[in-house]
Amino acid sequence: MSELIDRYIHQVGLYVRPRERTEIEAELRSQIQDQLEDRYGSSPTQTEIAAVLKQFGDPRSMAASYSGEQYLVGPTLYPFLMTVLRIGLPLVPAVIVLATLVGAVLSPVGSNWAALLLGSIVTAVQGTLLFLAIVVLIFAILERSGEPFGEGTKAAFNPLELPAVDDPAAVDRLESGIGLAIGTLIGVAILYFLQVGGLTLRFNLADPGDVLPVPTEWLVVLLLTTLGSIFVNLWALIHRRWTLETWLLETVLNVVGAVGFYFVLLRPVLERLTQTVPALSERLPLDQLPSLITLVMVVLITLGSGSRLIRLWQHRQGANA
Amino acid sequence: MVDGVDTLEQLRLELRRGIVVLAVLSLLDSASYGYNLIQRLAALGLNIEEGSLYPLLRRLEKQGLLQSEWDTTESRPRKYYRISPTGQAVLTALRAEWEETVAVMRGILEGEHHE
Repeated sequence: MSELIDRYIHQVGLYVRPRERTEIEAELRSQIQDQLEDRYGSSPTQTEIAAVLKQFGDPRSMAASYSGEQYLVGPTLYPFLMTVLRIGLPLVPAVIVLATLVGAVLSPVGSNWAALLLGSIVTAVQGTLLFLAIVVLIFAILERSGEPFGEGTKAAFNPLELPAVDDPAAVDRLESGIGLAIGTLIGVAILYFLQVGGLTLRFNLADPGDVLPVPTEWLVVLLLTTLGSIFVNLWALIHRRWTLETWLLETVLNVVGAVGFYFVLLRPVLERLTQTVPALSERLPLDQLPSLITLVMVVLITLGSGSRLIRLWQHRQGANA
Repeated sequence: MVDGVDTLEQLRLELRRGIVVLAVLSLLDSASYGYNLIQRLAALGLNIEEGSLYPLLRRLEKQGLLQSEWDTTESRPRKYYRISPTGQAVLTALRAEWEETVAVMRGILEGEHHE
């Protein structure tokens, strides 16, 4: 008689939390037997058991009811996840295809353009899927770390403390979303470059193709600054504001990242370019170009971030006064 | 029309969700096992599916509103639920809320506040 019941309970047990499984299975068995006895006495037929089980419903639905609502990424973080994906999903394949084409121009070996195009599409698909997986993983980890997001915000909310329209602490969701999307992409690329020992545009661990050696220590620095920037931006997004300290940290990370960019990308690529096309270096003063680009980047970052730093500091002074 | 029926069913479920909790807490001032509770609720006119009630009992127990005990003296074990002191306090508050809501809703539905 109980074989069908065993099968039903086993199916429910497959989909409930392991630590609750024994208890839920025991409860269900007792409840099914109560109902069977009441309706059909002590010896129900297979058809009668099936009728009762049908009333209990599909095992997966029953298990889902026991589990309650569960999220990979909850409603509080979901809008931020979607912002990052909306920006990143079209950006990632475009950047990969563009980088592949630029790489082909710089490559000392002649290129088969048809194979190159096909390869860049495959790489773009791989890169996009990887980007998607990593972004979702980051948000899933955030969802499960520390205090639950959104809890207690109703009690803590004070309309009188709403930020001013031109508040320097305000977080631009688009800006942070783009930062997170690009940061994630760069982080993944650096991990790959570390694995293959230099720069390459063929994202295939088994056959990375033509690898341009770059200083490993600067790759590590760039990876750390990228990861740091990702988490600082996430912190700002979740707390809905920048502080003097977090914006200062973001600025420092960006400046160090720009310097790392010089050692990891600008200088090695320019050296390769002058080797590939010697005539170019004879006609143009390319030696100073990487330093100049880096200097401009550092100045722009410092000026752009510096003005906000000053406003944040003034804002704090005003709040303390 | 199908959409309308689906929406109605969804709204009906949402409306009943809180009511079922109130009904279950109200009936569990004396110990009862799951199927017995389903029968008592049905006899009073509130039909609840097994797939809804049994997980709800477990959830209320986890929230500390119910306490349970396995009775192993009979031919097979059976789990009995009873309202806890915390559940009793919650029930009192919920009941006051319910009565106030019913009065307000009656006024709204019967048009007392319509201009």
